[in-house]
Amino acid sequence: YQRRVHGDIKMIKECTLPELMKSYDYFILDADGVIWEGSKEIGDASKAIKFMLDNHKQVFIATNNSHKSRVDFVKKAQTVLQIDLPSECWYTSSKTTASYIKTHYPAAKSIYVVGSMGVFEELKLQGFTNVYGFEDAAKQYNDSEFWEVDLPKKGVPDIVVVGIDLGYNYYKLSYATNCIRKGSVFIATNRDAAIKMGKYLMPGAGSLVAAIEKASDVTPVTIGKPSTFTLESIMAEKSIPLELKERMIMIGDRMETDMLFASNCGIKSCMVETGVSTKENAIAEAKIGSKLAPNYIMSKLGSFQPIQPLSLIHISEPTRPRLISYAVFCLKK
Amino acid sequence: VSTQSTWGFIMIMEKMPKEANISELAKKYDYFLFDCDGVMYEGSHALPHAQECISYLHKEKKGIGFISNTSSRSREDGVEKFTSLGFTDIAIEDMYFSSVITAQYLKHNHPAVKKVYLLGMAGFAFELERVGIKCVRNEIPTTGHLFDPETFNSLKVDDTIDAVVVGIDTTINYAQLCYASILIQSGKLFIVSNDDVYDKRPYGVFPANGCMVETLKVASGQTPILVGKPNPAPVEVYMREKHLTEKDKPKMIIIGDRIDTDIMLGKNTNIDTALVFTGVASLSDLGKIPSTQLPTYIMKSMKIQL
Repeated sequence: YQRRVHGDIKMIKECTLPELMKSYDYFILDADGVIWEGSKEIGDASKAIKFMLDNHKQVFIATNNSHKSRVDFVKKAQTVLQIDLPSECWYTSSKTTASYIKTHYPAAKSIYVVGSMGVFEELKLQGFTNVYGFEDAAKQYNDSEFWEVDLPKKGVPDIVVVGIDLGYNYYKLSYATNCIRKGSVFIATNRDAAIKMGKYLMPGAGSLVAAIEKASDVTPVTIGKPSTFTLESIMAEKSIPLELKERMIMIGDRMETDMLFASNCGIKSCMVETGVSTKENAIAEAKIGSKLAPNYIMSKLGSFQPIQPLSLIHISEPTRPRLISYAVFCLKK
Repeated sequence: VSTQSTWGFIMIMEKMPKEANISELAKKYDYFLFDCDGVMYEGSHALPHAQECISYLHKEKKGIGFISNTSSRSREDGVEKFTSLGFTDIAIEDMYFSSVITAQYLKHNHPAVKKVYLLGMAGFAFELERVGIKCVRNEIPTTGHLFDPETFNSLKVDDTIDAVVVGIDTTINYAQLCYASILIQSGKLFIVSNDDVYDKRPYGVFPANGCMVETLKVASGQTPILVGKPNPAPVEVYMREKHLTEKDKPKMIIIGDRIDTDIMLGKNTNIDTALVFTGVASLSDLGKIPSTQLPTYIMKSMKIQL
């Protein structure tokens, strides 16, 4: 159904995957909440991707997850989805961060990373050899040692990169903060506040970046969605001309990263309901004409059948003023 | 000089806080609440005239309270900090570091809280246990110091824990942040000793509790109860212990070096304030704030100046 909302600034179209395939050739998919959750495929996701590939559509995965390397993601797609999605399809925030640094700071001599192995690997692939910080997960903060030995000895790196870091600790917070205050360029892989893991949320890169931002008084350049660097990277590397932006669509589950990313890039977006954002959230955003509202909505990636819309045509009023009364709802298909 | 700063300057001229010294203040006030860092000492040395000020106030039979947002020290640690810098005549019952404030605040305002998951240092745990609150600090297993995300979903919420309490903790890691966040998301009380983002050091900054609090706020989506300055708990705890009431407030004064914590504490509790320039704030800061945040007095130092 098409929902016209008062204010009328944005309309969200309910659709199916085959319908999207008529209008779009480049499918940029988010991973968590769209194709899988944890290590489980989200219903019919692999069927959906196979359908796109069989119909010669270009598929890219744009994920803010900087924890895994692309090699790990390729393996995961084979295991969980039984699909071959080679590493060229994967645009993780660590890959895009490394590309960004290579483009904008090719002469960077030293890079301090508060982040996961994925970031270290991607920076190495781009040819940066002095990338350090991984071993600091084991470091205990000692005040006099920090100021008298550590900071003066290591010097100030050209760049400090912050992303999700399972080995984050106070030492890294202090080291990163003080280096940024002394002039290191501050780059965040992404700013997702938290990651949905079943019942609870796990602290995301955004929660760590926020602390370092406050302590350093410097706002970082953010690489991942909703910033546009990922699309710039895809279009440059795959030589996609600008005019073909209208044949691109971003499919994601989190409005403040995926849909906002699409808006910022000037491409269309489709929200799926298998992740973080809900249809109610989407409608609320559409009502105020916000950049977070999607253009399309599907219950899940593998939506092949249109939803049968139901509308309320009759409700009978309770006929007796007694404690128990009945209302009858008639729904028309 | 821009128009804006000229206006600020003109406003100051009209509402300029009076410059005062300790002996003048001693004529009007009986209870002196001091911030510590930037007022009594700086890092590892005592500030000029701080000791003579304390001795003078004792001689004049004035009440003293040392109200610091630092949560890592117990009362005893606080005394030790002062004596290690050469201070004498420091009374343990005048120590009101935010460890003490938080413990007393919980005892009085949240008596049902009997067991807490503490992100904080030994001094903080000591003060909490002193009021009968059990502190737990479960070591979340890591592999080579890295948290394994596969274990996240098997972290169990300990339902015997009543609250998450956060103070400065230089031993904190990602695994503990995960568990604290899960407890907060499951509805446990989220209490924070102070929100200061950093303490200035000679060659940079010492990231303070405000950083970890920010991480937990963003990660859990919840806003904590903030106990330390500029919130009123430090004054409430001091007044309760010293048996002071609202009638005594006109005889109280808060002396500090930070507008956002010390002066605002005075505004939030209706107590006069004196801003000293031996720490964070400088005279030019007065031109950048609304007149409602101006201190009652300004002081260049703790010199008694009889």
